[in-house]
Amino acid sequence: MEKIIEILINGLSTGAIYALLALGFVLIFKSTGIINFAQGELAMVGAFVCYSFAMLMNLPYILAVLIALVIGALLGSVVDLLFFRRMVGEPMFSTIMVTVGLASIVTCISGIIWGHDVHSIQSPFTDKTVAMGNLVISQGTLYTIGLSIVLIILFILFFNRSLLGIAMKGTAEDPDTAGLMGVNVKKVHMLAWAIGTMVAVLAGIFLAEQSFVRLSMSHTGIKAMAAAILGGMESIGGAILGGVIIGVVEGLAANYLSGMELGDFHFGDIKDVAAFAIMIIVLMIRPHGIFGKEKVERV
Amino acid sequence: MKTRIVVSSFILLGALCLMAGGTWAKEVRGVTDTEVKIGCLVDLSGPAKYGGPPIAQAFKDCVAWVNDNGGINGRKINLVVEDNGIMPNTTMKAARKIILKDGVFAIGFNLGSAGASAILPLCEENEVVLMPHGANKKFFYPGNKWVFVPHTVQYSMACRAVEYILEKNPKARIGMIYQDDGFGREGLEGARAAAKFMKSKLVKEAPYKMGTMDFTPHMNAMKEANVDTIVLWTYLPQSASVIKQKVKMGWDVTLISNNTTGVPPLFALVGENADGYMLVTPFAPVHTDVPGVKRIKEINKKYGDPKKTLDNPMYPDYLYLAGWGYIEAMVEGLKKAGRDLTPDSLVKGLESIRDYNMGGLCPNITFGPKRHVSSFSSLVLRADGKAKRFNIIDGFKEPKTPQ
Amino acid sequence: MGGNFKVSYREDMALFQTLWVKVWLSILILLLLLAPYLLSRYQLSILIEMGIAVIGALGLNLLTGYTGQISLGHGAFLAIGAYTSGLLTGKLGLPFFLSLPLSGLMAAGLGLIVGIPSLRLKGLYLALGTLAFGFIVEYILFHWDLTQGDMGMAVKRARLGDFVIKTEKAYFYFVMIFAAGAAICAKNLVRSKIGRCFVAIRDRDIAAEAMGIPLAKYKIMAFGISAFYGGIAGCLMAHYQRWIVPGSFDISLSIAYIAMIILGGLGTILGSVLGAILITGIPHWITYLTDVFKESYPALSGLIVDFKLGIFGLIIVLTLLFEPQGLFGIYRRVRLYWKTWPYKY
Repeated sequence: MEKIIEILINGLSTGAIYALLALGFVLIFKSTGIINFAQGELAMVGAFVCYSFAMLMNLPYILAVLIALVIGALLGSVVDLLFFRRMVGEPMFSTIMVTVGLASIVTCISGIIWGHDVHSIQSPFTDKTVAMGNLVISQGTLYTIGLSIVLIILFILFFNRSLLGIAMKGTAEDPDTAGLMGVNVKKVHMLAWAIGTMVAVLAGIFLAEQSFVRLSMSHTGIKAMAAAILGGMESIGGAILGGVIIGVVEGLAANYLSGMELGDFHFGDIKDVAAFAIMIIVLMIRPHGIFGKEKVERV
Repeated sequence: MKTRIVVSSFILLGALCLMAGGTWAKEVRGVTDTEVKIGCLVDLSGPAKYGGPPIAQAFKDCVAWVNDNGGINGRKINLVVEDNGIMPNTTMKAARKIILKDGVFAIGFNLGSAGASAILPLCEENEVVLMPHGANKKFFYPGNKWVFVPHTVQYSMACRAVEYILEKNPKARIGMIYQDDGFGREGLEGARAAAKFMKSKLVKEAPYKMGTMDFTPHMNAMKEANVDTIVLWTYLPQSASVIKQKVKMGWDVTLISNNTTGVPPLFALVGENADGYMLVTPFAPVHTDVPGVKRIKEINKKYGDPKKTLDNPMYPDYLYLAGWGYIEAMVEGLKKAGRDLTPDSLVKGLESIRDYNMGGLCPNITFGPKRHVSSFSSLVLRADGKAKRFNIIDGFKEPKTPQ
Repeated sequence: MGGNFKVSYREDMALFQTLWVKVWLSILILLLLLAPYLLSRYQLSILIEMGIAVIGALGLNLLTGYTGQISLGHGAFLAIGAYTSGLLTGKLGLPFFLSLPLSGLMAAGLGLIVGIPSLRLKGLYLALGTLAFGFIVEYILFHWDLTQGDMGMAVKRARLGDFVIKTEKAYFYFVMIFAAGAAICAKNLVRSKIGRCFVAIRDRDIAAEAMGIPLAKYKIMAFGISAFYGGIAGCLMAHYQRWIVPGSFDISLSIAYIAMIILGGLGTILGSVLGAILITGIPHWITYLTDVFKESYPALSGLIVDFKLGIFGLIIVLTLLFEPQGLFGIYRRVRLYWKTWPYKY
């Protein structure tokens, strides 16, 4: 029983990062209708920027995080300006492939700037733990979970209560009509990219806190996308649920299946595959995710 | 009408296929009266980029030194360094280029286990001697005419690690975290064999996928199995993650790992937490005071850029030394092959190397017709977190487990 | 469309539409026949690679370009073809002329299975589903003793009866015959009923269904055919390299194939061929450039090497942003321009 609780808590902490990344997906998707395969890469860039300011220039950690967030927002706006402003109204295939291409460009450029090595960021809660009875949890994990919850509540309020949030939702639904209703569509898109990238940057910094900064941390993006899809791209709550489900499934698979041998088949590290298998199974049953709604298409 | 054209062109094609079989007598590829071309396949791009430049540097320094001293049997070495991008398909392209286009005589280094397997048929077909670096046990057992392994392989190192632990404490409960690929599994096999030989066993085995950074589940499983020593067959980032996780869990467990993690950047990643981290390696740390290391330091000073290489405290020195071991083996083989240089004479030359003195830099090199691996012995190092370096705690020894 | 008016259905359906196409094609065939006698082994090896890529790209274009189904897992079908043929010839001793079609069929069979979710999934969901399929195939190849894990397994030389295809020359002709055959089959397919059904599904699947096209049948068929092409390409690759590792067929291969069809032009046969040739050629071209600058500008040479990783992504993005119809679109525009010169149209 204790083991199950431990797996659940660890799954929750991994899930929180997935959920944060997934939140970025949903945010950009809900306002621009573009699915951003480069979300993980943007997170990686954010972590590297934070690393550059905190470790190479020796700025205080909090300041480095703030600078990274601002740079992330700028980066998001630039990405929108350079690539996606011209992509409005293009077919789904083109937009997806542009983000896939963008992902490899971002990785390549980051490789040139920061190299392929692994780096660590020293933050105020590095290597600090909190003991609760038998459980030992790192402070970083607690901050991740806590801040994720706060952010998620803020976003839910933003989309449902604020004028801008509703304008963003409307733009995603139908950019032309939203434009006619007086919404500055271009501005809304740019804003969505800026905020979406900022969230990704934050997720990247948390991810770096849990392990290290490196180029391949962007792979987490794919898993976060699986989480977002599992929950249904439309809903923020779904993204969180998806993230936690994937985190817990991974924990269970790593504990009970990894390393098993079945005849001449070695299970090896089955964690990642288990996450994807769950995603496919859910999609087969509910093609639009757990909370997703089927859209009525016009011919 | 149209069908006839199509059919007749296909017949023509077929006829041409049959004609295309002729070969012609030729001189030896990559060898002229004054020069011999040696290839070096390392990563200059991609995820393992940190590994390539030190190896290439060692090759360049050594080649400059050899050429400066008159070359080998009247021939200077012409070094061809090519980026192999670690992936099997990029390695294949690189190998095809240096063999078919640049026409190298032999490949003195290839980084990456899967890539080396992938280019094997190409090397066999073109009679290229290949010296691969990576998980290599299968290259000398059962063995291949063209492949020579001038370093101690992961299997032997894993045996050494487990034997070292069990000799210190026969009752040690050993767990193993290994990378789920050829590299990690060769380590796992070695560790299992050694544990069995010492009448013990691995209590818990946990594989991880290459690139994983979150070791929470693995370490939890280890703790649950009540393990007191963990053998890590991991790369540097993963070892650092495990150490970080160990600190997070507040768990004092002994860690022993392999040569790839024995580089100074480990201290940049985990700082003093690295203290006590052990590893098995065939290469002496560059601060060690042995004749072999001193010699290459001098050569490096003369031909290379020591500020950026061996004198740089963050330099992954074992890669430089590994490169050195390879090129020295190749140079010695070329020397022994004599003036009449052909692929077969190089194989004979390499096979006649006996106990070539490396001066404590790495184990001495011995090859033979039935033995294409240079040595089985390795050192045990221990990390000193304050001085930020590794110290030898157990000298060169061969594992007792049959290899 | 300047000057070339078709007056009969027969003319519209012709395989090669004008005399010029025929002339150019015969020149191309002649050049290909002569190539092995003019080029070095290394250059031939690049051409072989290109020929194999043409087959794979044609397959992906039938699925993505013609039927409009996104696939991020095309590399997995090449892997299935390669491993099927490798195992059949290696373990069971089947002759190559049997294992070649069987490897295509095996890939097609699995392609059909992957096609089933496509009935329910669209766009993004399909993209991620096929991506996951690619990961799962790689995982299985990695962990099965039969396929010998990430270190890969040996594959026998291709052998037809008593004739072993040994030299680059022979393999070049062999691959080119298949590439030409694949292109002709694809061209024929897309001008048949099946091809037009594919296009209808791509343009508006609900409308297509309303017009009486059974969606399920044609979507799954598109996956099957595309996978068949992939399997054949994989099989040819395996017997050329004679050693296969799962790492050769990862997501980057799938992305390279997508880059091919996007650069060449979605939904065109000529485009697939052009794209495959260019995308396969680019890494070699980069290697050539690094060699040129190695001596004089080592720093520039190092930068070019770094750039290698992002080049396909850059090509995809630039093509989609500035010339969504790819090279084929440029070719068509240029042709039109000269036909009507000096008038605009």
